[in-house]
Amino acid sequence: MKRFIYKINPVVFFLALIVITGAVAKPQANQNSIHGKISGTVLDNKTGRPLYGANIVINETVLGTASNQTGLYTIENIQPGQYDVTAMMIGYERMAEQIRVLPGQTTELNFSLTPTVIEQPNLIVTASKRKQLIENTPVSVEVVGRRQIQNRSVTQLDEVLQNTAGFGVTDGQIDLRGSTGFSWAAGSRVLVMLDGHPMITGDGGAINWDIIPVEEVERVEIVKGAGSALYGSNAMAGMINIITRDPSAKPVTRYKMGWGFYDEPAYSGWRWTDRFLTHQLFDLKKLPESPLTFEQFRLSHSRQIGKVGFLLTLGRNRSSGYQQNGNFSSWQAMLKTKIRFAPQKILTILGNWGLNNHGDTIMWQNQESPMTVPPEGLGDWVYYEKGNIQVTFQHAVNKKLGYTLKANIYRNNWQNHFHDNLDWAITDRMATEAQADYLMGRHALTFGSEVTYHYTESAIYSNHQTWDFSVYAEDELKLSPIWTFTFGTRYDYHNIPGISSDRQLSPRLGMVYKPAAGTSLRLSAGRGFRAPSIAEVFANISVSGFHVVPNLELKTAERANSFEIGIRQILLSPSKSKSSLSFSDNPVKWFFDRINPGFLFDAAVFWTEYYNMIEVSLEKEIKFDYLKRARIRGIECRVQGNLFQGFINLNLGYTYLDPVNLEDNEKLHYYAGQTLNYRSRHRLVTSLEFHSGRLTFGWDYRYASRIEEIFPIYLTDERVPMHVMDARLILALGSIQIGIEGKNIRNYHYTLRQRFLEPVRSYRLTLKGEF
Amino acid sequence: MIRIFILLLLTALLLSCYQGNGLSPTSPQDEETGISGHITFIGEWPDSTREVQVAVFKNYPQGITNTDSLLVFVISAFLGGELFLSDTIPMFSTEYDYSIPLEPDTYAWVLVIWYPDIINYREGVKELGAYYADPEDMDVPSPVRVMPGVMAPDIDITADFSRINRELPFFRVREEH
Repeated sequence: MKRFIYKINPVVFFLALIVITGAVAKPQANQNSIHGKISGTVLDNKTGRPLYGANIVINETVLGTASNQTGLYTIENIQPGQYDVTAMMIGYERMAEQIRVLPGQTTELNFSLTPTVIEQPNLIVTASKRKQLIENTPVSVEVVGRRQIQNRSVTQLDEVLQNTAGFGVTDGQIDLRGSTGFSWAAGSRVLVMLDGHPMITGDGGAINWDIIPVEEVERVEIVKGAGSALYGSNAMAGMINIITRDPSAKPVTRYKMGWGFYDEPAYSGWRWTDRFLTHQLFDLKKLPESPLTFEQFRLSHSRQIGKVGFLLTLGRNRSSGYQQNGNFSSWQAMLKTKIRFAPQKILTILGNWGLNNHGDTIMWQNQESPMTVPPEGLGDWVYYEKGNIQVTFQHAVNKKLGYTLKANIYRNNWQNHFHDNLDWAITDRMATEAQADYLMGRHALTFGSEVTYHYTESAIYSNHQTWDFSVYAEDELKLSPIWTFTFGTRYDYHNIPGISSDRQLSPRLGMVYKPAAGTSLRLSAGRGFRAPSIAEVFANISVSGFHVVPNLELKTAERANSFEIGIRQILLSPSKSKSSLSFSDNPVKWFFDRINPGFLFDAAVFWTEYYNMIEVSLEKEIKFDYLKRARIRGIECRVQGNLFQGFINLNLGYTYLDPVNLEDNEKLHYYAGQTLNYRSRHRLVTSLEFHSGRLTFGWDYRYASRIEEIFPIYLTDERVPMHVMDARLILALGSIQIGIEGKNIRNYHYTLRQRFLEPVRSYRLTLKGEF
Repeated sequence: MIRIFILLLLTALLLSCYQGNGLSPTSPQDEETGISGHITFIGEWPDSTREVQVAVFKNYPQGITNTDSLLVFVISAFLGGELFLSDTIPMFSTEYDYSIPLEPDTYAWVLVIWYPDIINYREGVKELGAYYADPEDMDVPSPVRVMPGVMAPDIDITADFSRINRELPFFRVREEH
């Protein structure tokens, strides 16, 4: 049967988008004469300094804003009346005030926030696709804040995120609570978004971490558990929303320079070159010549011109790599523009581009020389260019109704330059979404619709396209201040013209119970799904002796039913200020006075049943195929704490997994009861930071138990647990920050997939600042 | 003072978490790469049999119409490193399990070959049977792909001694898929 391929032109799509956006964003007549304003400042009540980025929301409405660099904020277009207004910011106690807004007048309302020892945000936007208090979410949420990102010397964001509980990264793909293991770069069970727009490639469902400007990330929200009820395909095990900084109100230029080098492996026999800098330094007869180093440079500028705010950033990374074919050379640029057309009418346009030419190592030569590749593969490299443009238009129509229109185009263009493979692919992903939020008494309704189109031209997949249509709705019902229920569902239609079509219904149910201040119990159940990616259905590739063949029988999505029950508890010191009690008067109180502890404790039990899970089969060739039934269940505990008035910050996360296949499957080489491939049963992450004056000392430790089962090749290869330690020292001198960091400081050697040695010890020096 | 003490204590504790260096150069026993399968013999072993083996060719003999050309093809494949042979199959076997180590690659022709004794050498080497992925479709032999670290199983062949009398040419070549 002949298939009709009709391609949507990305340029036409974008132009149509501009026209539509221009129409809806047209400024309206000034309504200030009948509506009022709230304006004021948000300050730190200890230092008196203005707080930048504090959220100010009018309770029980969709209205809100954030403070600028001078701490100022304004909320316009408010219908006259009495309101409760809350100011909140990461690291500060929430503060609420009641005010009356009068027609045509500006009501001044200033906030003075008290620092708290718990460094967690109050508002998140990912779990329910709208602003929501973190304790009201029925699922596990972890937020990585700007300080946690900025204090680490990294080139890619995944290097930071792997310090969060239950989070693993193998070959760039996310393994969240055992969702994926190792996916051969085809198909992600976690939806990664940039400012709410999906950042999954249209062909393989891969995540391009190198396109995300780490220095411009405000925070990352990690939502664990099935999220398909709002987000559809890919969100079957969770969502990761990377939220970038907003443009500054006043001109700011930021810079970052980094340099580092790779240390020698622990065994002299593995030293594949004399270009290791440490080796050269000890050999005084010889001056260093093209050592194994890496460099990083990033420059950004942000300012506001009238109603338009800009953030422009340019980055450059280069590395020789620590092993053969480990080199890369990349460029990245981003422009974020935020235009406030009218009160509560904001248009954000973000353009992102990246080019990364990198060497490629499929497998090492042998374990006697794991940092070298087979001779014929030496010099194999990949050209990879990618770019996206995403547009978001937000409009709070009135205090009860707001809507968001979104559209994006994401293009990926890559070509192998291997000794035995010159495959290439160009893939476009285009998506539009309309979403509305409506507050109605105790109900907070969120509903919308989404259309996604993928088109790929390629030597590896041929030319194919897919269409996805969906509608969704969710209701958050606040029965009382202590009981909140969530009900929602989403309908998705997935179509590969001429090949297959599939329909999915993804309901979700959630409940939050807050019996006391600081305590929140949650329960959620939901269905997730993931449509097979173009790569899984159509890939036909031969490289380095591996042959992957298409499987046109992958016609339906893989599905998962998830259940979670959890608790979130905040534990604060009984006294906020140091008393004059002596140890003999009251030893317990004396102890608490001195350590002044503050802890956030979060624990969850989760259970997910998978149906038609797509895994890799191996018969004569490699093929993606269905594993009929699997189950992943486990527990996760997380402690975030602060001791000695901020002297010590502690993060601790432990995840236990029981990932098991439930039915025999000869093709996939699985028997019932077998542990799923590439999953670690135990995972532990620990981060400690000591702050004293200008100095910060940080230490991270990641442990994952030995992977029990792997894809059935090289079964006799040695496998070891992962033990990775990083340490850093940061000196802050005004607006300048100097950091020295050691990565994998124990120089521990391990693999996460077959025959690929993970990075050896490296040292990094960074200088960053702003003016 | 208490802070400095805690810092020193924790630093010492953290640095003491020594776990060795993980992987070491000790090379594990390599997983065998190649093909394996089962051979079923049909018919009587002829008295003129010198030897029977499983042979694997990288390429398929195209356009060969006589014994001499086939011999040239076999010899050139052998000299060019494109022919791989199993151990000799014990005489009068009715069934036999074989395995042949091979480099990862695609092999066009896996067959059971029969060598005549020295008196009948002019009859040439004969094919008793080849590997067909689909036993219902025995038009042309199926190519076999060998992947790194995998001893591909189930490359089964039915060897029929009645085929000794079959005349050349063999089969037309199917395009690889």
